[in-house]
Amino acid sequence: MIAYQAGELDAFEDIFGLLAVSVRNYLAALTRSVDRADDLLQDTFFQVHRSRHTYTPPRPVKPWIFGIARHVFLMDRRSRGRRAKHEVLAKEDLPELPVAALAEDLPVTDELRRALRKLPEDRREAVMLHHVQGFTFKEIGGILGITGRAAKLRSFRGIQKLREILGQEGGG
Amino acid sequence: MSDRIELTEALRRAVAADIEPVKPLSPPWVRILWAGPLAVVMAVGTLVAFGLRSDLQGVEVVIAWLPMILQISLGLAVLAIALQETVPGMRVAKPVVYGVCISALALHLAVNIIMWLRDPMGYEDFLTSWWSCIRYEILLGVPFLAIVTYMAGRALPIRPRYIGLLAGFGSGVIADASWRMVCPVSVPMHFLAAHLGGMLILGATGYLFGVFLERRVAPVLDP
Repeated sequence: MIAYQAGELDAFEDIFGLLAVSVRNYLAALTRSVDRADDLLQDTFFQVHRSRHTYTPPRPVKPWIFGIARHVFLMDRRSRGRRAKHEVLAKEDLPELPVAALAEDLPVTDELRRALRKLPEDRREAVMLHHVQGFTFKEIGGILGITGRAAKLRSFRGIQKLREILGQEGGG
Repeated sequence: MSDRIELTEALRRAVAADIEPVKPLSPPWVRILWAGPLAVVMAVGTLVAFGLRSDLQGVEVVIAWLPMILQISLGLAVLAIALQETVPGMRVAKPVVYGVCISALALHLAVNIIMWLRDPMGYEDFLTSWWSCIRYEILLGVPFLAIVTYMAGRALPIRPRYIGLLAGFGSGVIADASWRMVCPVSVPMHFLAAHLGGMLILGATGYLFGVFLERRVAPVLDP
């Protein structure tokens, strides 16, 4: 990141190569659409470039970039109004969410994907950021503007709800 | 989903066209350091120009000067939070923001109520005294609001209206710390309408400026 701030294009490409997949997964979880996530991914890294002076070394780069991704998502959602909330997506448009930390406990990936979509947005985001992206609760607090404790609670409740949904689907 | 995503040509072009070195922003608490000396200069300037309020002369330091210093510190903390909110991934938790803002309001109310109970002083005409105070509160706060808003605009204001509200309120708290030392009127109607009112008007101004910033069309990536 320091090399990028010093004006090296290769450094930007390295950062993109390292983080693009995880940023897209995060955006896909927020938007519930891979196409939109792809568009927002480009916007996110464009915004990263325009805001590169706001990164202060030696802070970790990943929470900074995810903070920008969230900003880009919120701007996009604001400009689309409330329509996005009611979008109905075809199954093939659903985001492929790698949930490695939960894989042992949970049965089928498709079921898990559906269950994640049913979570309230704030809980889904906390689950994604902690269990998928590996952020600490303190880092999640910095991205979302909440305390680390609140982040932990959202994630915990998200997992509880996830188990509940999967239990219902499995039983019924 | 693939394991690797290629950089699009449009993004590569946009980045390559503007790849010159940049200087990283200092942390928010460093960027706010200018405001401390400015607040002191304003407070001293106001006292020199208008004189210390009569009911504070001879009053012990704890009641006269300590709240002023505390109020300026809390105002600076609010401004620092506003700047912190412009750095992605470093947002301040809401309980902290509410805690600082409520402390600033509580201090303002407590000091004014103490002064009123000690030596109640009314006004001859409500509107005249209201206007003479509120305009100075706003005048003293505007430089802080303008500078913090400019600094926020140079970073990445994620929620401009929220940042504007904090910047305006923090500026109002600092402005009130100075002007409260000059205004001798201590009845609640006055300090609520003119002094607290000044803070709220500055907060509302910052908020509206944030709304304006939000509606500005952000640059987009050329396909």
